[in-house]
Amino acid sequence: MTDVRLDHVSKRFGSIQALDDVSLHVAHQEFFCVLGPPGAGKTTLLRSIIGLEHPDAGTVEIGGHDVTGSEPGKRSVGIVFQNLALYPDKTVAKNLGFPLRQQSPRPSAAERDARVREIARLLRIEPLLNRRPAHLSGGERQRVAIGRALVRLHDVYLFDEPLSALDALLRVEMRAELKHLQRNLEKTLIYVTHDHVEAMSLADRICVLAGGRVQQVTSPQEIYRRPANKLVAWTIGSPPINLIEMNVVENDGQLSLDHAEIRIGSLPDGTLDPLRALMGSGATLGVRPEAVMLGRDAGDSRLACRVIAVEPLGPETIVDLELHGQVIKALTPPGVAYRPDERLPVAFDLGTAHIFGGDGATVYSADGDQSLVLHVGAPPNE
Amino acid sequence: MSSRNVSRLIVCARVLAVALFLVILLFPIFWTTTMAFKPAEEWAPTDGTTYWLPEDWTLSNFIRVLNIGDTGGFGGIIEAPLDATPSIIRSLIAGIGGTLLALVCGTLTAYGISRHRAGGRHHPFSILQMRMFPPIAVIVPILFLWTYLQLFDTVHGLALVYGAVTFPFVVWLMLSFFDEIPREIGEAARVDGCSRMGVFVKAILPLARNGLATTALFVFILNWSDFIIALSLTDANKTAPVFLNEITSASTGREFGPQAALGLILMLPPLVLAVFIQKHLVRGMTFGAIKR
Ligand SMILES: Nc1ncnc2c1ncn2[C@@H]1O[C@H](COP(=O)(O)OP(=O)(O)OP(=O)(O)O)[C@@H](O)[C@H]1O
Ligand SMILES: [Mg+2]
Repeated sequence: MTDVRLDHVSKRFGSIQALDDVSLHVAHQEFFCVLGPPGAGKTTLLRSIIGLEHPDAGTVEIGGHDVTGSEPGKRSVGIVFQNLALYPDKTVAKNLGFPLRQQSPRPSAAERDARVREIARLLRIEPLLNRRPAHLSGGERQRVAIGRALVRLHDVYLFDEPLSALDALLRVEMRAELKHLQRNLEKTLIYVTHDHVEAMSLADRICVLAGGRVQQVTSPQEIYRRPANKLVAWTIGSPPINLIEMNVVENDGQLSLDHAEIRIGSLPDGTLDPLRALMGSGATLGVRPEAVMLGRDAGDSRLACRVIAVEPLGPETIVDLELHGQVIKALTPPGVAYRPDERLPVAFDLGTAHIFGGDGATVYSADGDQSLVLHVGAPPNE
Repeated sequence: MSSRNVSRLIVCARVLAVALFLVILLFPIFWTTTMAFKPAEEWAPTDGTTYWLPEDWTLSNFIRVLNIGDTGGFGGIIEAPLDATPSIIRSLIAGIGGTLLALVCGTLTAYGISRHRAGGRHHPFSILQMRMFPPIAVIVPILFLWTYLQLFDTVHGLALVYGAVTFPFVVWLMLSFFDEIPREIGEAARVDGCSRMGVFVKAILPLARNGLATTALFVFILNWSDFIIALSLTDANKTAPVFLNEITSASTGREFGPQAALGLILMLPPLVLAVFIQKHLVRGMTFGAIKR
C-alpha cells in the first residue's frame, strides 16, 4: 500500500503563505490531480511530498510511514519538475541512466542499459538516446524528463505541469498516453496542472488548490456538478461560469433572488435558512455558459440581451451578451450566425445552476433539480 | 571638404590609432623574441648600432640560461654558470599548487554561497574585500609568520600564499557560474539518490567545468607571473621571474640576451594551457536543461 497522506501541512515563504493547513489523502494507485491558478502552491505541495521543502508544520506520510524529516532520495518518490531540469551535459541515455547509477546496490551496466532501453521504448524516445537535451524538441525533452522519473521503480510519482510547454495537439496526444501509462504502471500518481480539461480527463479525483488552501477534493463529475464554492466553480469550465450578483428579498413570506432584470423564485426548502441569513448582503447565481440558451433555443423567454461579440470555435460558438451592464457568456451549438448588436431572447437552464453565499460557499447546486424558476422583468416595487 | 573626404579621413585616423596601439602592444613582445635569438654582440653592441633583427641567429642565450651546454663564453671571458631550470620548476610547482588550492577551496566556498547563502548576505563581498589592498601591504607580517612556521624560502610556503591571494577571485568567478545553474538540477540529483557531495561532484561540477577551466587559466596566469610575493618570501629558492630579474654578470651588467630567452620561456606555459582548454573557454552549456 503506497498512499500519500498530508496532515495539516503549512509552509510559509516570508510573507507568502504557500501552503495553508493542507490535509489530503491520496489513495493507493490513484491518479490524483491538483488543479489551481498560478501561485496557488501546487509546486510547493509536490516539493513538500518529495522532501525538497520542509513544512513549517504538519506531517507527510507515504505508505503509512512518517517521512516528514527524511531525505528526498530515501522516499521512493519520483518527480517530473515543472521546468524539467534535465542534465544538459549528459546524453538522453545518461540522463535516464543517472538515477539507476545512484541506486544502492547499483545495478550492473547491462541491467541499467536494459532498463534505459525499456523506458525509452515505452516513451518512444529510443532514437534520441545519444542526443543532448539542447538538441531535442520541447515534447521530446518532456518525455525524457518523464522517463528519468519513471526509470527507477518508485511507489509514488509526482508530475508538475508536465504538458504545459507543449502545443495543443501534442498535449492531447500526451494526455492520452499518460492515462494509458498510469493504468499500466499501477502506481500512485499526483499530477499538478492549471488546465481543468487535463484534470477532468485524467484524474480519478481532483483537488482544487487556491491561495495555499484546499478548496475541494472530489471526482471530476462531482466537482463540475457540485463545486464546494464560487472559486472551484470558476476554476472548472471554459469559458468560466457566469456569476450574477442577486439580492435576497422576502415578499409575503416568500423568499426570492432579485436582480434588475430577473428574479429567481420557488427556492428549495433547504436553501431558505442560509439565504435568509444573507438578506441585505446578497448572493451569487452561477450559470454555466452551456446553460445559457439563445434565440430559438430560448423558447418563449421574455428576457432579451444584446450581443456584444461572437467567437465561433468550430464545434461550438461563444456568444458574449450584455445583461444589465454585465457580460454573460453563452456556449451555443454552431450553425446559427449571431451578429453583434442584435437583441436575442435568452433563457437560463437552471437545472445546472448554483447559488453561492456571501463568503463564496455553495448554498445550493441544482444538479438536475428543475425546481428553480426564472421570472423575467423588473421585480415589483415593495 | 566634401563629406566623402571627411569620412575617408576618419577611416585613416582610425587605422592609424589601431596601428599605434598595436605597435605599443606588440613591440615589447617583438623585441623580447628577437633579442632572445641575438648573440651578445648584438644585444649589447659596443659601437651603438641598433639591430632590429638578429643578423646572426643563435640559440646561445637559451643554452646559457638553461645551462645545457657550452656557449663559448662572452667576448672570450668565461661567465659564471647560469641555470634557470630549478627556478622554472619551482615556479611551476608554486603556481600550479597555488592554483589548485584556490580552485578547491574557492569552488566549494562559491557553491556553498550559491546554494545555501553560506555565511550570510555579505559574505561574498567580505571575501572580495580581502583583495581590496595589494598583497604587498601584508607581506611583512606574512614574512615573520612564514619564518616562524619554517615556510620561508620554501615552494609550498609560496603555494599557500598564492592560493590565499587568488582564492577570492575563484569565489567570485565560480559564484556567477554556479548561480547560472538552475536549482532544480541539483534537486533532481538529490531526488535521484545522490548525497549532498554527490550532487556537487556528479551533477553540478560537470556543468560548471567551462567556468572552472576559465577560472583555472586566469588564476594560474596570476600566480605564474607573480614577482613581488616571491621576491619577498624566497631567498635561495627563487622562482623564475625573480631569477630573471637577477641575471647579471660582472663583465656586462645585465644580461639582456639570457633574460629575453628566459622571458620567452615564461610566456609558454599560459599559452600552452590556453590552447589546451580553449574549447572550454566558451559558455552556453546549460542550454536545454530548463523549459522556459
Ligand atoms: N523558494 C521560494 N521563496 C519565496 N517564495 C516562494 C518560493 N517558492 C514559492 N514561493 C511562493 O509561494 C507561492 C506558491 O508557489 P508555487 O510555486 O507553489 O505555486 P504554483 O501553484 O506551483 O504556481 P505555478 O502555477 O506558477 O507553477 C507563490 O506565491 C510563490 O511566489
Ligand atoms: Mg508550479
